[in-house]
Amino acid sequence: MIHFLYFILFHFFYSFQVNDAKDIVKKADEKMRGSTMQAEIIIKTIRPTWSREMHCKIWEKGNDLALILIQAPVRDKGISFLKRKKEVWNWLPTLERTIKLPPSMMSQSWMGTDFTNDDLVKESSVVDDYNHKIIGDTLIQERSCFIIQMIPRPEAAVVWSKVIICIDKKDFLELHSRFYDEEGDLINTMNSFDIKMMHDRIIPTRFEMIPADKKGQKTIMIYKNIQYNSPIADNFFSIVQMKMLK
Amino acid sequence: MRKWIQVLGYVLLSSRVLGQDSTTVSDKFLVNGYIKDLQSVHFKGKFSDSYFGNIVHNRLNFKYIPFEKFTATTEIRTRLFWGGEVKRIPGFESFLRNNNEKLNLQKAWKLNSSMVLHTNIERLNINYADAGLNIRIGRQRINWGVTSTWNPNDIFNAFNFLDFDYEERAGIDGANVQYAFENRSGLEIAYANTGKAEQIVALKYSLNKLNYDIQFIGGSYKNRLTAGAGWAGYIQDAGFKGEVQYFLPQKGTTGHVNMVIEGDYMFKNGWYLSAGFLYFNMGLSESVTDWNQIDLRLSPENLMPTKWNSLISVAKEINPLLSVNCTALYSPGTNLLILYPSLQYNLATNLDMNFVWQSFFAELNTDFKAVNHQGFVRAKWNF
Repeated sequence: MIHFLYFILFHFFYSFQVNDAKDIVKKADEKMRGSTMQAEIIIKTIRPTWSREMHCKIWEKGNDLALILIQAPVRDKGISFLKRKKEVWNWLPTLERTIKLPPSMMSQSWMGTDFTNDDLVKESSVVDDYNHKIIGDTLIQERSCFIIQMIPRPEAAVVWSKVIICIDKKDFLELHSRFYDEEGDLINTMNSFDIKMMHDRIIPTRFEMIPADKKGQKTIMIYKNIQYNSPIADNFFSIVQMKMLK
Repeated sequence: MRKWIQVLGYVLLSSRVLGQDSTTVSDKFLVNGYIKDLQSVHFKGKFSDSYFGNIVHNRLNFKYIPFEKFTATTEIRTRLFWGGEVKRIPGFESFLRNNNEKLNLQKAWKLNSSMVLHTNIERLNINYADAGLNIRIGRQRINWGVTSTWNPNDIFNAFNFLDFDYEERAGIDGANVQYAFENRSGLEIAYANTGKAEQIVALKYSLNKLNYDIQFIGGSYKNRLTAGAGWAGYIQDAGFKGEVQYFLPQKGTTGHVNMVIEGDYMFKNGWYLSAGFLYFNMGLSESVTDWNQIDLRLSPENLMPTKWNSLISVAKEINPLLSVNCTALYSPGTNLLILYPSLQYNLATNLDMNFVWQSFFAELNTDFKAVNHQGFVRAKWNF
């Protein structure tokens, strides 16, 4: 009987904690993404002997719909990407043609940065595709944070075997994340900085993605401006629109 | 000539100085383009009889957007050729004209026995776009291809996949009207006047079902009826695409069919693999006696001179600046083999270097041998 009570209590506590962890991740995710999001982003690829900078505009609606337009450098200007659920298209203005990309390209580096296609257009959902658990507390940039472990669900198309994220307890800001591969080795670390009021909310506006085994290498993503929750029709995320973006 | 160079210089300068970024002169007027330098060396099969070619190549793209839905586009391509290539081919300058263009908007100057300057207005069109409707009239490219190397559905302006230095590809003089429906299907009608009473008019219906882009094409290609279809989708995580185009028989000619099937996949370690097959019912299926029988001047009816063709391409981004690609094409029957490796390096933000090699092998008089080779070094600066 006592064992049974322990079992019930343990389960109650465990499921409560699981939901709690999931809710925290959900709040942080919703905060960064809104119901829709439009942003202008600068991506800096830093290597020991060189660096490159790219400017782009991004439109997102939920997990399924996204558009990215490259505005600089001039050699790539006008290139755009459209994502609808699992389908991804690439518009090359020089060739005046649309190319449908294979889904296997989603886990690959995006335009030479340390971000994957998936990082940018979120094929996987940090809320639905993982099991979440709070594993501790920490202090980052003088903010008290939850440490949450996220293990992908078996059926989810996620390239990581484990993700550890630290989320600020007060404003639900994702301030630090670590991504582990199938062998359990740390692959990427992401840190977030420059917490500011952007449009209607406080968010970090500078993210640094640092590969674990590559010294002097990182990618910095800076949000120049961002607009949340403006209505965007589903039809905006179309091949016709992808060619007309400015 | 001097005046022309002054105008070019002014445009280049103004686009650099006035721009908010390097390509925007104002919100209504956009200029961009590039300058390329292509050095080439050509050999016979046993690396004998070599000659060199040089091209300095400029493209200027102008866009005028007086109001939101309206765009006027002009694109000018100018090339200066010199060296052995010009010298060896009698009447070199006469081969530079795009024969699909009705209006003659090009000009060639033979500056001396080994130097030719050629300029052409490659695009000259007005475009009106409103909601799902898009109308474009004038010189333009109509690109209905789905797959990457051979495009049977590209009946308006087929291109030569070996011509890597012509990314934009040739245009036509005509009109194009597109309408996109709410359910992601669309209708497109296009017309091209290629002169000589040979016209192309075709209708395309496209739709997206079960993660597949599907298109159906019907029309008249230079007085022959034609019908085709294309698709792009995936099987698990690999891309799966194809195109088929049939040209109906007419006046003693037999029907032509071109069919392509292609798959591509990106491995976890970043290697990209693409494989394609092309069937052309009128192509050569047996070995030839003379290389000149293998005619690589291609058209929509004739995407390869050979009947059965297979192609494998592997590519890898070594780092964000350096990428390599190697393509091998093999046509059984004729035993035609083309090896086509290339390397691209980004020297500075808008400056790229390309190293490209093309080797051609074939069975001639039952003897499989190297026929010719060509190597290219290219620098490209975008502005």
